[in-house]
Amino acid sequence: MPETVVRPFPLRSPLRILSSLRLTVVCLGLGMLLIFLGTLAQVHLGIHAVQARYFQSLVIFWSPPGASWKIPILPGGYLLGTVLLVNLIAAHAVRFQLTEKKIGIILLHFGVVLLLIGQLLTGLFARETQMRIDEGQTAGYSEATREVELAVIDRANPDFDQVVAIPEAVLARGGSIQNPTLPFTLKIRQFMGNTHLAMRAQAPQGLPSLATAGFGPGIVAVEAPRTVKDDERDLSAAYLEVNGVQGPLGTWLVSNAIPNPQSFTVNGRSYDLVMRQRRFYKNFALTLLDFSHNRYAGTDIPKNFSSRVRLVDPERNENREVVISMNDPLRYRGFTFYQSGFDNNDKTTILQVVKNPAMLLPYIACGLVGLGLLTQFSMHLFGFMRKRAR
Amino acid sequence: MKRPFLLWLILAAALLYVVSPLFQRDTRGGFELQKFGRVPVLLNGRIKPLDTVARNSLLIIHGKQTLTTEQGSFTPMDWLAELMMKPAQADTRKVFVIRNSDTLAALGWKPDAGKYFSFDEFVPHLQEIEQQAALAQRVEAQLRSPFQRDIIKLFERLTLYHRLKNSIQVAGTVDFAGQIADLVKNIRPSPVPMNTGISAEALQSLGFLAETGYFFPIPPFPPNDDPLQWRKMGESLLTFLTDGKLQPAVPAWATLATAFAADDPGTFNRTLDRYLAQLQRDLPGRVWKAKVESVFNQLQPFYSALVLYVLIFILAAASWLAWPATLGRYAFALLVLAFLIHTAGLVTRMYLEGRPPVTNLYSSAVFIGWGAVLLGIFLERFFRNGIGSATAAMIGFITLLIAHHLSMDGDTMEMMRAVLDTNGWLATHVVCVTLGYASTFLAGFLALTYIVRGAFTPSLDRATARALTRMVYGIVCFATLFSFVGTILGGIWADQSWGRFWGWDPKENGALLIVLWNAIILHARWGGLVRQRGLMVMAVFGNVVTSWSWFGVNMLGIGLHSYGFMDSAFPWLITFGASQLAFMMIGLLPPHLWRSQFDSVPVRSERELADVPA
Amino acid sequence: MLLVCAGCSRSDDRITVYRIPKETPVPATLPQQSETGSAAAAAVHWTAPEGWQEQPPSGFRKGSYLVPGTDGMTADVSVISFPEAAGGLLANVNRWRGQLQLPPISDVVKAGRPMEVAGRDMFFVDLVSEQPLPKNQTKTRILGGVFPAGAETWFFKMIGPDELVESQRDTFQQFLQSVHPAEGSDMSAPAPAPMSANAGGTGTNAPTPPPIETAQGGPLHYTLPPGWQEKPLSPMRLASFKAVARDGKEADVSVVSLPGIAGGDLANVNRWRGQVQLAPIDENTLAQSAEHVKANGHDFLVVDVVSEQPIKGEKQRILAAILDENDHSWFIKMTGEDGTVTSQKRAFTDFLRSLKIP
Repeated sequence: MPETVVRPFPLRSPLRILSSLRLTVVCLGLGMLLIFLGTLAQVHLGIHAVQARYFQSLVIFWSPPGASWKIPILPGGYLLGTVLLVNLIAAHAVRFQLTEKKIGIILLHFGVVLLLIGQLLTGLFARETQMRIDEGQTAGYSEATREVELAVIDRANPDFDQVVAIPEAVLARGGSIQNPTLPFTLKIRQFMGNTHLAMRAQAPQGLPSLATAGFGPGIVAVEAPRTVKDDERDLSAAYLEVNGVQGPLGTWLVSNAIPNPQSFTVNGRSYDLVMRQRRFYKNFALTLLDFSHNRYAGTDIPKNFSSRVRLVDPERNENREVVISMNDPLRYRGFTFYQSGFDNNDKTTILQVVKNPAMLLPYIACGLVGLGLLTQFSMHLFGFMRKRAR
Repeated sequence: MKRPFLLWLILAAALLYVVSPLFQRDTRGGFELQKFGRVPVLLNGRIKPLDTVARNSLLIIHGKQTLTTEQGSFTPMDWLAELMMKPAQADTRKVFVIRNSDTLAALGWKPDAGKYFSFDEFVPHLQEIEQQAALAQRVEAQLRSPFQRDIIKLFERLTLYHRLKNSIQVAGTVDFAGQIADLVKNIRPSPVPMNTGISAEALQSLGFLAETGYFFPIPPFPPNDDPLQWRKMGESLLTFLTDGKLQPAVPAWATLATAFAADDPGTFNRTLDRYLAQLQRDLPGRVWKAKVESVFNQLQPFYSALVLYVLIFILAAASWLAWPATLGRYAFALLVLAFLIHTAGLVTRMYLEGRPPVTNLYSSAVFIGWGAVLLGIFLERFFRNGIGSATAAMIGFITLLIAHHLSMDGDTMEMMRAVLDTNGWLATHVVCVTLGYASTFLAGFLALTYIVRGAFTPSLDRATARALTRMVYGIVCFATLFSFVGTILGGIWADQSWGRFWGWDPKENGALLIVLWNAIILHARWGGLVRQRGLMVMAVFGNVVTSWSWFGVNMLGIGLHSYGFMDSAFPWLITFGASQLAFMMIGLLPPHLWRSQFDSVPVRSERELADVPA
Repeated sequence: MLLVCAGCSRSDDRITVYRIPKETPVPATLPQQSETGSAAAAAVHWTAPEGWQEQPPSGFRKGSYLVPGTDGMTADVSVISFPEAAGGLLANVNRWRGQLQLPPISDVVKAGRPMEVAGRDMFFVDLVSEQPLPKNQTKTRILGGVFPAGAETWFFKMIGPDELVESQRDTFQQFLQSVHPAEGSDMSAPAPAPMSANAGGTGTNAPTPPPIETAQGGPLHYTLPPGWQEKPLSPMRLASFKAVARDGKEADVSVVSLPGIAGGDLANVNRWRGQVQLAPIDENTLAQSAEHVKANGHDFLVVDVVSEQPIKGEKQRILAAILDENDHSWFIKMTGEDGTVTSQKRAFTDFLRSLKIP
C-alpha cells in the first residue's frame, strides 16, 4: 500500500472518504453489530423475519413497544453491503498497483466483491420452494412454504383447466381484483395472514362470519399473529366477495386450511375458488418411485435418506431415473432438488426446490478469496522465516 | 553434560506417568473384569467395548469415572459387572449423585443428607420421581427450572440404571444359565412363541428383557460385519423360540452372569476367554477396535496431557523470572511431549470413529487445544522466549478442561446424523473453522500475556513487546485465513446440501463474526488506526467473539436443547467475556500506569510490523 | 405430462394465468377428492359414531373421519385394509409405535388385547407417546383395532392428541363393535366434508390443547394391602409388588395377563407345582383342591401349593389365582417362603377382591 494510506490522513475529498480504510473498518464493525443483533433477534422473531428486517434491508428501525413512530438505529445488510462494495472498488481504483506483492490482496478483494454481489443477487432473485410427492405419485409443481395464493380455476374446457393465480401480496393489498379472463371481480373484504379456525358447531359463541356462501358460514376464523417458528405454517384466510355484472353473488371464506375448492357459477360457467400454498408449475414432472430411510443400528438417528424418482420432460425428451439423497441433489433446468425431509411413514418425500441464478458466484468467489489469502499470507510467512533464518 | 541428562530424566518421568494406568490390573475377587471390559457390544449404533459403556454410564449416573464408597473404590467395570450380575448388592452402592437441593427436598431428604445415594434409597420415591419428571417434561425444554431439569435428569439416570441392570438377565434371576439350558431342552420351536411350551412368566420376562435391555450384547450369527444384526439378549432368546437356533453368544453371557453371581471366578474367566477367542475368530476387526478403545479409555491421554499442560505453564512462566534458558528448554520439551500425547489421543479417536477430527462440540474442544498448541510450538521454535510455550499450554489446559466437562453427557463418539454424514466436508469446512477458532484464541491469549506482563510485572521489555506484536499479527493473519476459508466452505456445503449458500443461522453468523473481527484487526492495523497496544486490545476482544460463536450461539435456544454442561456453562461464558473486557480496559490504561516502562514503540512505518520481510 | 405454461412469470406480485392438464396432482397430505363411482367395494361395514366428520376416502384409506375436540383439537380416524396379514400383527403394532416414537417391542402379548367383534377376534391396541411429538406439542395417543376378515386384514386407527383420544376411547370401542364383514354389498363413497384442519400436515399452527393432567391411566384398579409395595420403574409395574411380612421377609407378587387361554389352567398349576417340587395332578384333583374367590364379577381360581421339603433352606409356597375372562388369562401369583406367604394369604385375598380388571 502506498505511503499515503499509512498514516491517518485528513478526510478531505469524498473519494478519499469513500476509499478510506477507516470507512472499511467502520462498515465491518457495524456489520458485526448487525449480525450480532440479528442473531439475538432470531430468538423472538424467527429466522425469516430477521432476514427481511436486518439483512435484506437498507435501514433498521426501532420503535418502542406500542408507539407509532420509529427511529433508524442501524444500517441494514443491503446498505452496509453496498457501501462496503463501493469502498472496496474505490480503494482499489485510487490505489491500484498491479505488482507481484499486491496480487494476493487484489485477488482476495475481488473475491469479496463477487461474494457481496452474489449475496445481493441471491437475496433478490433466488426462490426456495418445496415439492412433496407420495410414493407412486407424480408432481409437476412445487409450493412456497410461507406464502399462499388464491386460485380461480375454470374447468369448462375438456382438455385443460385454466387457472388464475393471485399471489398473497395482491390479496394483502386488498381492494378489488379484475382479470380479463374472468367475467367477474373479486373484492377482498378481509385478508388474514394467520388465523385460528374452528367449526361454528364447536364454537357457537364465535363472531359472526362475513361469508354468505360456501363453507364460510359454518366456520369461525379469528385472526392470529403470524408464526415466527421455522417449523410452523400460517393458516391464512380471506373473505372474498364475488361481483358479477348483475351484482354481488355472495362472500366466500377461503383458507389454505380448506383444501376443497368451492364453486360458484357466473354466466352459466362454473369456477372453483381455492386458497393454497403458492404453486410454481414446472415444464417437467417428477414421479416418486421409492423413498428409503435408514437409521443407525439400535437408534433413531437417521443415517441416510434418499428418493428414487423418475424425471419426465416432454419438451426435452427426457425420461430417466434419478436418485436424490442427502448431500447429492438433482440439478435440472436451473432448479436444484434437494432431499429435505420425509413424512407419512417414509412414504412421502419432501424435496427442497431452489432456483438461484447467482448460484455459481460464491464458488468463484471462494476460489479467488482462498487463493488470495494463501498467496498473501504465504508471502508473509516465507519472508518472515527467511529473515529468521538469517 | 549434565543438563541434557536431567532433561531426559524429566521426559522419562512424564512418559512413565502417562503410561502408568496400563500397569494397573483389575481383578477384583479374582474376576478378569479388565478383560471383560474389552468385549465388544453395540450401543447407539456403534460397536464399542463394554468398558466404554461402563465408563459413560457411570459418568452419567455418578458424575465421575470411579466410584468410591465405604467398601472401597470401584472401576467402571467393577460397578457395571456387579450391577448386571449381582444387582441386589449393586443397589446398595451410593452411586447416584444429587447436587440440586430442591431435588433433595422433593425426596424428603435434608440438604446435608450427603451427595450420593444408592438405588435402594430411591425405591420408596420412584413413583414420586416419575410423576415429577412427567410434570417437568411438559414444560418446553428451554423454559424448565433448574429443579425440573434436575428431576428429569434424575429420572433418566434411574432409567439408565434400570436398563443396564436388565440387559443381560432380568435382575434377580438365579441361575440364568440353567434356565436357558432348560429352555433349550424343553421347548418346541414355533412361529407363535406362546405355543412353544414356554411358561407365561418366562415369556413375559423374555419380552421384558428384550424391551428393557440397554445395549446389544449378541453379535450376528453366522458372523458378519453388519451392525444392524446385533441383538439384545431378550430379542435373541425370543427369536430362538421361533426358529430353535440359539446364538452361541447367549449361553456364554448367561454363564458369565451365573458364574459371577455364584462367586465363581474360575468359570467366569474360562468362559470369558473362550468367548473372546470365539469373537476373535468371528469378528477380528471389531475385537481389535474394542481392544484399542479400552486401552484408550484406560490411558485417558487427554487427561494426562491436561496435567502436563499445567506443569508446562508453570515452568514457562517461571522462565520469565529465573533461568530463562533452562526452564524454557524444559517447558518446550515437555510441550512437545504433551502435544504428541494429545495428537495420539486425537488420532486414536479418528481411527475409532473413522471420521475427521471434529464431529461434535467435545471434539472441537480437543481440536482447538491441539491446533493452538501446534501453533504455539512453532512460535516457541522461532522466538524461544517461553511465551509460545506458556500460552499454548494455557489454551491446551483450558480446552481440555472444557472437553472434560462436555464428556459428562455420555459417549463422545456418537453417530453422525444424515446431514453431517460426509467426511469430505467435515474434514475441510469443520477443520478449517475450528483451526480459525484455535488461532483466534491463540492471538487473544498472546495479547493477554502482553497486557498482564506489561501492566502487572516489570518483565515486559521492548524486545519482548515487539516479539509479541509480531506473534499476534502473524497469528491473526492465520486466523483470518482459516476462518474465512472455513466459513466460505461451510457456505458451499450448505449450498450443496440444501441449496442455500448463506442462511443467516446463528452458527454461520458466529463464524462470520470471527472473520469480520479478524479482518477489522488487520485493516485497522494496515490503516494505522491502531498500534502495538491497540492491536493487543483488539486481539483480546477476539477471545470474546470466538467464545461467543463457539459456545454462545449454542445457548440461544433456537431449536436447540441446552442440556448438561450448557446450563452451567452460561455463567462461565459471561464471566469469561467480562474478564476479557476488563483486560482490555487495563490494556487501554495510560502507559505510565503500567509496571513495565519500555519505550512505547514509535511506529514510523507500517512495514516494520506488517510487512516484516521488508 | 404436457404442460402449457402461459404466464410463468418470475415477477413476484403479479396475477398469473396458466393452463394445466386436467389431471391435477394433489399434494400428499390433502385428502383426495373421491372419483365418484370408483370407490372400491368394502368387504367390511361399520357405523361411525355421531360427531365424527366423514372425510373422503383416499389412497389406501377405505374410510376416514375427523374427530373434533374442544379448542380446535382434532383426531384422525382411518380405516385401511391390506391383503393377508400385512407383515404380521407385531410388525403393524410396531409401525404404530414408531409413529409415536416408541421403541419397537418384540412381544406381541404386550401389544394389546383381543376383543370379540362380530364373532371374530379383533385385536385392540392402545398406545400413547412418552414425549409430546413435535407435530402437535402434546402427547399423542393411538387407539387401534386389527381385524382379520377373509383374505384381508383391516386396520382401524384413531390418532390424535392424548386428551382427545383418551376421551374418545369408549366411542372408539363402540365403533369397533359396529364393524362386521359384509358379503358382496357395496358402499358408496361418502361425500366430501367441508374442511380438514389437518391440512398441511406438519407444522400448521393450529391451536394447541392445554397440557393434560393425568398422562396414563392403567387398566388395572386395585387397593394395596398394608405392607405391600409396588415395584415401580418397570414395564411390569402394573403387575409386580412385594409383600413385606412383619418379620421383614418379602414375598413376590406378580400380575401377568396374556391373551388366549395360555396353556390352560391345569398346565399352569402343574408348572407351579413343579417349581415347588410337587408331582403333577390331574383335572379332577385340581377341581377338588382349588378354591374360588368371587369379586367384582370376576371368578378367580385360587391354588395354594407348598413344597414338602425345604428348598434353599426354607419350604417354598406359591399362592396363585387364575382368571379367564374375555379370551384373556390373568395370573396373580405370590411366591416366597412358606411362613411369609401364609402370613400374607389374607392380604392376597383382599387384593383379589379389590382388583378390577377392565
